[in-house]
Amino acid sequence: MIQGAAAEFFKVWALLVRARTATAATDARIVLCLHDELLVHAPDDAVETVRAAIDDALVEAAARWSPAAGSGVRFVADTSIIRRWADAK
Amino acid sequence: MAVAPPLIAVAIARTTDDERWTAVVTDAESRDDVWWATDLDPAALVRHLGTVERDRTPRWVWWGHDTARALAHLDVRPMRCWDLAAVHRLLHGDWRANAARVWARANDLDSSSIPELRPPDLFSAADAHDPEQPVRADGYLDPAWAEGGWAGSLARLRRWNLLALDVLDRQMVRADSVMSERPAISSTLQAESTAAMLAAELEGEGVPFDRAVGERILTDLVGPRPRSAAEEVESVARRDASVLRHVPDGPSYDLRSPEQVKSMLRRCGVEVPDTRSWRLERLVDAHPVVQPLLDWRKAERMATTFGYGWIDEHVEPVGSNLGADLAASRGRLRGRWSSSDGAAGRMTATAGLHNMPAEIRPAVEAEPGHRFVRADLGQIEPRILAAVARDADLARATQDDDMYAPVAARLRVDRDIAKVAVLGAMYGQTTGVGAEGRRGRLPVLSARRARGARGARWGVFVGGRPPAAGTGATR
Repeated sequence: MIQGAAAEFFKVWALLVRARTATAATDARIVLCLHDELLVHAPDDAVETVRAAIDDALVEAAARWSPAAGSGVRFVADTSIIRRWADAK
Repeated sequence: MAVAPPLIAVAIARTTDDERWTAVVTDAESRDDVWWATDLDPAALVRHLGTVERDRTPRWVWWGHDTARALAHLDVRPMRCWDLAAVHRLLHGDWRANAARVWARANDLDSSSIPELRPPDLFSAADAHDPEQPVRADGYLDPAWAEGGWAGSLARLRRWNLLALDVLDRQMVRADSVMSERPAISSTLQAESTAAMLAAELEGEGVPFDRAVGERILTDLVGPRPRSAAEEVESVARRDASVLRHVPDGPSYDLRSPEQVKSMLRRCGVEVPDTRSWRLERLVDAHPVVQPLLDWRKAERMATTFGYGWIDEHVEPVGSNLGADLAASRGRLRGRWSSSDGAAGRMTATAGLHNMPAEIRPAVEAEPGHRFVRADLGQIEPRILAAVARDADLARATQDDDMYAPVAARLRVDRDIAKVAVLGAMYGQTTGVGAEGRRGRLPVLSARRARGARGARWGVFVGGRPPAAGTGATR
């Protein structure tokens, strides 16, 4: 049940990242949605914008997803800018 | 109050292989065409759809994956949509959401008697109906239409849109009727629809992959790419021999059979109830065969699941639009994506995209001039539980960047143990570290609150298939 709710929250986050990166950097694309992880492929000059969009999208997801809205619960994401997927922890 | 976006149906079809398109865009309210065209080149189609997106900011309505995939192929990126198949899956819990089933459910027709496409026979004249009519006398969709015939002409696309809007109306009535049980249903349906679009985009995009790096990794792990069937057999035999040479002379063993591996270990004096890796990892000092066996398993998994065949099958060359300066070894790793797995509702993919072993990940490399931004949610389960259960203590604990570290400090244990304690207590574990976690007054729920959380109606799709309409929310 918690996993179902987590999957739903993740989706709201991913969709907001999709929407916000489309307006911020037209060439950035989500290439993997993996359990609790997102991988976005972005032009070098857009990576910081994308990183900020991902963080903003998380705050927005918490406000929009009804179980979290107004609950005071904080969500956190580790973000990193990498060349190879293996460079991440 | 925000004005609801206009609902606009879109149907597009490629007329021939040389990328000429037919498209119809229909307004839901007036049922009039907003725009239509035939024999369009892709750039013109993208431009026209972009104009509608910009000027009307609609919620696009379409039947399902065919349209989503075509839009992804064209790199049209609609912001809002209503995917009839995705909505059908969620409203009716029916995972085989094709046009015929979506239509039948929306029209309260028995899904078990959906007509199938049959080759014409002697009697076909008896039940023949006008092939230009999409709906049969018995109310079902004509299977020829449902299975692709809708794309045959401009007139057919127009009819297909009108039918889509009929289904939309019925789905909205259905969604309204479950609103009291599931107050967030309409935003959930919209999210699932857009997730279906994202799934189509992920399929079109693929994961940047350097074939040369991937092959180098495989060479190190499983040996060079076999150039013939004989070499392949030889390579397998060599891999097997790396284990079997540690076994005393006697019968030969098939390492792909768990029973035979058990017998083999017994012959080496290692008794195990089963041959699971975590069990064997504790026994590496018991006999020199154990470590090679564990290594063999890793190599075997790579060779059979993520080997040269996997690369050949799933890594496609990048399109020329990505730049001629890309190394020839650059490709995109592609699989089929689904927006919901039918169990917990997670996005899933084929081609091993979801369980790529760590060994192969260095081959996933950003293309020149690009980098990856990677993000993963931290301690998502306790945070979700805090939200769902509306627990003030737990909500306070989510203010920490790391929810497990303070627990570890309080219990004086490693962070990994604290994590198990928190999750165990969360899921109602009454023994072991979970119980210890509770005695340690963790910011987790009491058993009663936890049960309450599980029974909560938060009106959204959680925990698998949604209930049939009228039977209430997930309990």
